[in-house]
Amino acid sequence: MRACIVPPHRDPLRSSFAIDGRLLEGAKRRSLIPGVARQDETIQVFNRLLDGLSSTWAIEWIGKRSEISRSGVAHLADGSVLRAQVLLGGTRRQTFHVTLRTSAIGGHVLLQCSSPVGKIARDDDSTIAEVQSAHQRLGRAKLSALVDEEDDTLALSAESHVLFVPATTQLAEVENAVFSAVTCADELERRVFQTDELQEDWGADEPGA
Amino acid sequence: MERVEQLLAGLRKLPDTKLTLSYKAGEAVISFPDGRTQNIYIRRAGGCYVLTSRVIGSTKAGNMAPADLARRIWVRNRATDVVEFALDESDRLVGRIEQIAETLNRNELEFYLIALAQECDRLEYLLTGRDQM
Repeated sequence: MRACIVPPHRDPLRSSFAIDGRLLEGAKRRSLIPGVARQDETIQVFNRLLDGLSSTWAIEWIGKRSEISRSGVAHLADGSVLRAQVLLGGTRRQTFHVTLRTSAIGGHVLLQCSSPVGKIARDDDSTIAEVQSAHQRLGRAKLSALVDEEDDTLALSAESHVLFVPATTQLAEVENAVFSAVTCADELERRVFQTDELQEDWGADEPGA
Repeated sequence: MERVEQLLAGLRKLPDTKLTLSYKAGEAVISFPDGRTQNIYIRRAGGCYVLTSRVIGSTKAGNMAPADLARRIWVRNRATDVVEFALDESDRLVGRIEQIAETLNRNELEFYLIALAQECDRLEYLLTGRDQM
């Protein structure tokens, strides 16, 4: 049986029916984020805000994977990040990672802060329920899990995001995102795992991060 | 809440989407083109606004094994931007966004409303196949 080959259509398609011209105008919708910031402006503002963060708070930068990605350690006491000048002995430490990424909804730039909590065996139902209960009582930050198939564990992180618009994003918003993630992660680590370890950030190399 | 009232005054459609909005006294109802709706509650907590939307109620959440529910929430959270899925103080599974009140502007509020409505509606459908207000 011979295949029927339809030749490509080279002329503009025309409808045989009457079309209301208004329907061809398209929706004149207002854009959610007016204007797109230049890349160098975005990088500059991101780094300026993070430098501002460590000049006020007890935060050390320990790594810079790119111009839009940094790792740091926050020093905490009594569930709060300490001020830069108040570095005393006996404080707790919490690693975190700050990066810019693109949102799945709308393709906007987001600042994401993630802070590692610990690893749990995937079938350890009692510890999982304990972490869930502790996080429910805290009511702060997002708890997310990366499934590690190799050692059959859940690598838990506390995360927070803020919409990043160089013209309007302020230091207070970045502080809130970082403080929310690191205090949540540190508190869960203290309550459930009863440790204070500087853990690697298992989410930092994930695509999109 | 005065700031939220001002930011949402006169807003009926959410930009870049086909979503419509009605807002009254801390409660925003987001309607999708297919008729599904998602209610978002906005309240002030200290220096922040907290936006919350229910995914499933406490009865349905309670019917799931706690560890199983936790695993599903945490893995879902890994794949979701901005919105935090968690059990609230009444054991309901909710989506939540918390942002500094003082700096919140209209563009940010619109983005957070869109993200919260879409992500909660999607997860509700995945867990139940239904849409309940």
